[in-house]
Amino acid sequence: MIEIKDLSFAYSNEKVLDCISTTFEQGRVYGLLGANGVGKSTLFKLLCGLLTTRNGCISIDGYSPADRRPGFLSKIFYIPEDFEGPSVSIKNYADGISAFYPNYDEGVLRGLLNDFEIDINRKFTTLSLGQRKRAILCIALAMNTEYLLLDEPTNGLDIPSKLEFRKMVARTMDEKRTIIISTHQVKDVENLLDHIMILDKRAVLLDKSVADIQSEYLFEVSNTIPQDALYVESGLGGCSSIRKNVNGEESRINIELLFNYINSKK
Amino acid sequence: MNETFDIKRLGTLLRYEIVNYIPHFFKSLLIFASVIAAVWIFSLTIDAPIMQFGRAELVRALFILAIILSPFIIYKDMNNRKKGYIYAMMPASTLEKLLSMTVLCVAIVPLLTYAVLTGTDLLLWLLSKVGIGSFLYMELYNPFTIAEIVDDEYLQPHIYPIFDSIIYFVNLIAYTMMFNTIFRKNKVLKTILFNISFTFAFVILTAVVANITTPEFWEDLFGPFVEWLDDKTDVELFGYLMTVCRCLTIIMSMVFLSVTYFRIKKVNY
Repeated sequence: MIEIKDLSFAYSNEKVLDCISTTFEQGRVYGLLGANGVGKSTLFKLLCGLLTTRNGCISIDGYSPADRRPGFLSKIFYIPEDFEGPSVSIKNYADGISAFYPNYDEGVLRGLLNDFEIDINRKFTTLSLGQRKRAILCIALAMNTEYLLLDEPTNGLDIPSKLEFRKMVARTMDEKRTIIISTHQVKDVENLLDHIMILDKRAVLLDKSVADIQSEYLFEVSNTIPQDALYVESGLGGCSSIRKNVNGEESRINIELLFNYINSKK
Repeated sequence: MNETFDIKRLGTLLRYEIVNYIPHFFKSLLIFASVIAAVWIFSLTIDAPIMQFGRAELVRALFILAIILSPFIIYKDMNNRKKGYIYAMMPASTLEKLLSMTVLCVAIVPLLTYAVLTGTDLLLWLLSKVGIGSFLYMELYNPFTIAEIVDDEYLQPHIYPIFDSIIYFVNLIAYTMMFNTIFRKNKVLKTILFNISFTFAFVILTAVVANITTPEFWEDLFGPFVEWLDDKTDVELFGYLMTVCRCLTIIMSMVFLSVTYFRIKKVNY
């Protein structure tokens, strides 16, 4: 489990995270949402130990990420938004790092690469951005780490690849694994998420499971604005609204609408 | 799990670095090898073949240059803000990363460089056999060179050719490894500028100190030491000097490696 307590971080004089506290539990796919610059990528880097916490603490299964201990590093895999890749082939890279990850499964890697139609012998440097991201996603999933942090994983992917990405994550997910996805492309991942966290510089604005959100709010599209609507957005297809779910009705979460509603309450 | 050191993990890391980094360094070595070829072609065109001594000096100079540059080439991206995360997140301890880096730069890279450069020279020799008296291998990085330079039979006992060569060699590599971890961009240029600035500052400081102090000050400070030195023979003094140099070299190497260790451990991305 990942536990974050009173975490603050600043670059020079610019404060990015301020006294954030939350937890990430095993067996869930988290969607980490937030406006540009609120510190989503910074939070990922802090979770990986790539940045050092100054105030507050992070504990991942008892490890402090900033110590970069081998036992911790073999539990976590991080893919940054602008992944460039080493100047070697996918096979060489995967073979080289696989010995560090005890749950690595080469069969999974080959299967995923096959689904994405990527040749395992291709070098990262010869791949396009989308192909590179797909390749490293396959490697990340095949390493079977307990924690997988994906920063904007669908950026640069074409439409069929986005579908394949969703299938891949769903197929490789299990109760021992925690996946945290930071994204602005919420429609690409909304069917995957078990839990939504909306981050702001000053606080965690929302930290709820999808089930809790569905039982609390009702998401509707109608021609008229509901009188008891908490938040409304008008569009060509009608009015998208959020209401309190007083009757326990079921509705599909509109994450963009939820995000805008939560941000409007700040 | 031993979180500080595990020989199996070190072996895995070393294998990863050899497979992933050495091919990239090998490309740079080909540039060095092409310099030998270019000089050889030039010497043929002007009909002035380079003699064995010239060849050996050329290869030796390229060898030193290649191993000085090797940490900057092999571990170029290790502290890069975008690409360096791969190195930082490799599941090995800081000690294992430092040891792997040291083994690669102190042993594997020099052996490879030696093989490529002398191999190039051998190939050219086989092609032309012009102006070559004998095989070149024995003329190159010869630890006994220092002993040959100091050919005084009384001073010879104070020289340990192999040990001295190793500590100076490790010191040089540790120095470049340290600067590779300190600077993020334009590493070679910044290292050169640092060295020039440091030397300049040292000369200025020495000149200023010499200017503001009197000879009596130095006599008071080092008088007893100078008297002690006066009692020693030149051979003894040479022995002391060599020991002091060795100790300083080892201490400096430890400092360079310690700085490298803490940079690997603490660098932020």
